[in-house]
Amino acid sequence: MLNVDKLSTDIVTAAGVVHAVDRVSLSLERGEMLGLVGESGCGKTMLAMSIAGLLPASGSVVSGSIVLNDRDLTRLPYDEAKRLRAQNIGVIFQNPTSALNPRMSVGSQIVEALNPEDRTSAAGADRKCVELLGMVGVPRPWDRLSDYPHELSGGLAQRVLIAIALARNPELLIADEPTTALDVTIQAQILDVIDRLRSELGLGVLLVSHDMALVAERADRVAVMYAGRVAETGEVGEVFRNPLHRYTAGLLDAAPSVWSTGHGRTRLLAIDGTPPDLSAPPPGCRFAPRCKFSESRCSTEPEVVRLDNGHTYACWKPAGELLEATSAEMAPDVAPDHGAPPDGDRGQPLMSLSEVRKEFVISRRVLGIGTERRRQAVAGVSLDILEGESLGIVGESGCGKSTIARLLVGLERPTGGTVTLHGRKTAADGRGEQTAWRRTVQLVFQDPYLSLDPTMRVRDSIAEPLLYKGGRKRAVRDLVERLAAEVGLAEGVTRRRPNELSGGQRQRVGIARALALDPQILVADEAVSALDVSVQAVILNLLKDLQRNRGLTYVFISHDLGVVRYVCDRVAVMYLGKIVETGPTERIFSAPAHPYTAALLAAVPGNAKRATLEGEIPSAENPPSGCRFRTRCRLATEKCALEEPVMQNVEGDGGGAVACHFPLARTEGIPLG
Amino acid sequence: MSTLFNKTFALRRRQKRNRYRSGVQGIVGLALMGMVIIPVIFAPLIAPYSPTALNLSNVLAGPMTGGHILGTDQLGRDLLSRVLYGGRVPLIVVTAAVLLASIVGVVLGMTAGYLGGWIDQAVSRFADIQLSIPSLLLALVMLAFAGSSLTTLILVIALGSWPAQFRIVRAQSISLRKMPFVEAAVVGCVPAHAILRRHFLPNVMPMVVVTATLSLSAGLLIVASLGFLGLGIRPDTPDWGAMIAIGQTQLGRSWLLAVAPGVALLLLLLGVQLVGDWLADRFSVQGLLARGG
Repeated sequence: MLNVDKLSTDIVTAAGVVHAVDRVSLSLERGEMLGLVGESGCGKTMLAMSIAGLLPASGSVVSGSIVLNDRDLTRLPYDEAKRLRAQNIGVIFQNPTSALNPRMSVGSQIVEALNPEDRTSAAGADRKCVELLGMVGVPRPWDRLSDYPHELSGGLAQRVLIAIALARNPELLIADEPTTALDVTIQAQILDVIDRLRSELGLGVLLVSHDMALVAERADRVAVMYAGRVAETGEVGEVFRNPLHRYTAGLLDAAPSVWSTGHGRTRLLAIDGTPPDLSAPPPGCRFAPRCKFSESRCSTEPEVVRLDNGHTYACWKPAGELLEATSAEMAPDVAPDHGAPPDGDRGQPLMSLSEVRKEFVISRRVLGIGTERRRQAVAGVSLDILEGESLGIVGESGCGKSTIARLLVGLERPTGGTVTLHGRKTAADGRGEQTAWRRTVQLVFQDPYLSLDPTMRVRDSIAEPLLYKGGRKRAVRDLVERLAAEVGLAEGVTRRRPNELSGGQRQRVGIARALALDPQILVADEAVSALDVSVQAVILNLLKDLQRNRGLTYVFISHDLGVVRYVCDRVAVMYLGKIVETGPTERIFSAPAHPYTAALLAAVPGNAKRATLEGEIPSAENPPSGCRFRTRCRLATEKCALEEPVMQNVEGDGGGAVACHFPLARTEGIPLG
Repeated sequence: MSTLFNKTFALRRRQKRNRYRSGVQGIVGLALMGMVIIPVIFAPLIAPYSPTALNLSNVLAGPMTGGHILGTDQLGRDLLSRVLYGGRVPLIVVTAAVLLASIVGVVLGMTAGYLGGWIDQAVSRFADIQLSIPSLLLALVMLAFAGSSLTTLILVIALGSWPAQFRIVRAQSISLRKMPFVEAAVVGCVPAHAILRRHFLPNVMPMVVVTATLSLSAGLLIVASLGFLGLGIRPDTPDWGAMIAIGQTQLGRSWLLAVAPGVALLLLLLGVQLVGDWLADRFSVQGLLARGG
């Protein structure tokens, strides 16, 4: 149905012409899903947008062809190509809320996308909208027509976007990171919808994603892109089981998996460096500068090799059968990791939360008019952070895990309960005390772009907290250089400004700044979720090294269960402002006791016992009575609505605690699906 | 395919042209400003005559007569010298006033935006009240009571232009306060005054400069209006506004009397506006400007 042949797309920038897509060929049949993976800056999105005709004004297709149903979109007159695309291609974007017009109701936005013949009567158009919304699994579609985008959750907004994309019965659906902004449970729901539509309507789906596990699970075929080129394509199972291109192999090695055991013992195999500047790509194999296996012939362009099973790759020194050997070759890179200290070594609680509550006032009464609305972000959390451990906090967005991070570092004050550090209350102290305790708890931020002042050189950013601790200028300067070296920043980088740094470098700077005050506890709030998987591996390795060398205690907040499993010794699972389960990482991942934990794990791509958790997290304004999870739990009974479960110890190996009336026994497994 | 190539090149040309035009805009603006400001500053060196020397035997001489390039006014004073000297009062007053207003606006705006709460409420309401009174009216009343002097003029103009700075800086500070790099400084125990100085000030500066150019042209107009209404510094000190007012009475006999200072003012204003627009483009703050202003 779709045939892309030697397609090249250029983007004109102030710095020169960027060859974002370079002679890419691929094809897609009806009912097939093709996954397009690679790091950011590899041209995945530009390729998708070239096909969809949504390139930015500075970009254009310069050569090659895009043949859709035997008609070449690049050769048709502009209007004709536009009409053809409108009829046959639907597009879904990454951020569903910003892709909808906030001033228009859901219904009118879908009507806008309908074919003219469907729009002849208002009633008919509405019926068609409802039909579309029903198709994408929006509950009570009639009620949704008059809703505005801000009334929708992320998951619902994405469903609406899919409905809009389907309005003209397209044959091809282009999904550009459709679930990256969504929680893992919602991601599974959305992908289920896309899967169902694919088989019911015979849609061809081009799924652009950075998530290898997701593509492995959902797609039929995969194309791995690197530096504007397709490095490797083939059947999903074949490519991921037997990757031939070194880049594919590297990406697969770099991602920490939820399903791999042996946590804490291994290091992730990171890919060093960043993708090349596409205005002047390196000659020959473009991956060669970052490839551990590159040799002299890699400076000439590798031929595309096609195997019998349709698996193609462009690499001089393919992995594959050599995989066993390569692991050995890589061995020198693998530093011996002593892992976490055994439980017996673990000391006293460094920091404790006791019945901590945090409420945010959403709207106040003005002159006695209106109702006061409050949102309970954290609703009574008790948690000990033990010396030397890595504690993971997981949960869907809106569960209050980021608020916990902000409470720990003092960016928010609790509205109830106490936060203690070394057994001393932190909140009620005077100013000086406040400063002293804050210094021992530091935060690593999520967004490496916004967490550094664009007007400051990075060494000044790192030095800043030291200067106000009363350090001497020269001593501070030396210390900053030492810190920079410790986090692996090359010499000279500290003199630059943030906009001259890559994402990974910026995150290193953020870590160096957090370490400057020599803290005991480092709180990492989604510290690697904005990074590409290759960079993420580098930062995770760095964090592990730092912990070993400095004896740091980590509080690791993440929605990525694979990362948490890799880094953490102990995990706390949060749902709607409460902790529902705690326990050692291995026990939580192998034998979850709370149905919510089990459901979270079940939603992760790649799970053999995959099952989708229905519904979405309720509003924190009016949480459900009793057990807060009961509205989505299949085991819920009347008791769950009446009585709030208390934390009780989990028996058996590992232990931990769970707040559930009907905890899952070890053998029970996952109660869904 | 050739059409696509053409599209690429057309696009590149267009981008180049945009860059070129915005650059030209700035250069023209600066040239216009320089053309007026430099002669005004060096008036004592350039001016062929004293601006106050009377010569009643040669009143309202035409241009290029008797060594007077622009002729003389109704009291026989050299018009060119008077135009040159006449820019000094407005320039001094407006520069000092905008500087003062910017300092006040930035300090109050950053503090209010960062601290929030009742301080923010109090200062914001005060600025709102200030904005609701027309600057010219306020200036007229104040000058009528306090009498006209350089200091009062500066204060009056500054009073009219600080709310603009305040509101823009405050709006930016509120969004800066939530930026992770500011929170990182808070977590790093950096004191509030240092956060404002090190993180807020450099980040609001581009907006402050752009707003200042706008205040500059508004201030020049007010000073000229005050001069025109007879509330300028002193009747005998040359001042564009006052000169235009007097020239107006002589329009029938010598139109240059009103037009020469008017053109000088116009060129200066145009220059300031062009530079302001160019700066706004460069810092791409047009959107912010609309919101804050």
